[in-house]
Amino acid sequence: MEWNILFMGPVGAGKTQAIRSISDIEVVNTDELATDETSLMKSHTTVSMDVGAIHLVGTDKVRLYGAPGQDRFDFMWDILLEQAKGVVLVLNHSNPDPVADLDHYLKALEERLLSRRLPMVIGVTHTDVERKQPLDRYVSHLNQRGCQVSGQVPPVLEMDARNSKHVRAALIAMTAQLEMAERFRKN
Amino acid sequence: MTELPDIMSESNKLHQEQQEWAAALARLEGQPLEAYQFRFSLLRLVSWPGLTHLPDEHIPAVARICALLARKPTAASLIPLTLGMSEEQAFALIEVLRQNQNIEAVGGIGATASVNAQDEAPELQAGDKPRESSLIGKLWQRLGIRP
Repeated sequence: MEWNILFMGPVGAGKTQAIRSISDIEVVNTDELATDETSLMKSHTTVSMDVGAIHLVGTDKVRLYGAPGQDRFDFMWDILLEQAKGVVLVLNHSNPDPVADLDHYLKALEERLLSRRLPMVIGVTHTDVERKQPLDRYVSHLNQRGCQVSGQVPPVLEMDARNSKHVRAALIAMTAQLEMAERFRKN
Repeated sequence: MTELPDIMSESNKLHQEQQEWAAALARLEGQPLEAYQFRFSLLRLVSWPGLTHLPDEHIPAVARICALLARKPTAASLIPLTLGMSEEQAFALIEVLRQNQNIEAVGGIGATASVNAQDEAPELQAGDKPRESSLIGKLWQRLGIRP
């Protein structure tokens, strides 16, 4: 059996790095030379998807997919969301308006998922670069607007995408939600 | 030169938060269960704690408690039963979460949970823990946890 966890978020948030930090396999990625405004941030960017995996006992595995950050590749989001069991939304805290990024992705997810619900974790990266605004602002915003995607305010955690312990914590929060979703569904 | 102290203080703050959790739990060690005034209360999740600020060993248990309460307010006494944890561990973690305002008692601390079945997460049975052979069970195992 295989389950898919999808990592989404803006360009440069750290999705590929987060997957690399916990994947048991060399991450397969589709990096291409960035030619648009992305090139101001980094030389290469994901254009199709990243694929990592966590091997479980037997032949079971959890596949970790990274979606491209640019909206023009959003057709990939539909494809990847179809099989996803949960979403880790990675936000770059040092972006000019990361709360607007959060809104943008929640809206995109709500439009695509409609009434389908998915466990979600929000990992906020680059907090070492920009620490002026507390993480509470994401929680406050989520409390105000609600989160139709998961049907509850999801966990928001500070995540250094290079730190496997941080990414593991995100995965634990995801697993706990998947466990409850599974147990509630059964009855 | 002015940036360095800021970075240092944030790093210290993280470390401090982990220490505060550890200290709060140490203070509760050996506390008799009757001392937890919330144990018959209905608890609900206010907000998840910043999991990466917690001591590593407590992240899974805290995440499971929060995920349960995010689904449905649950009587405190049912939480250890439902999640297969000891009452000592569950109540101590709940107490720290309550002190940090991540969890609150519906109707206030000391209020007794209604016996209304809807309030008591009837969908979750005590013996309905994820089997080791299930994918969730295997994933927990892979994360080094036995739920």
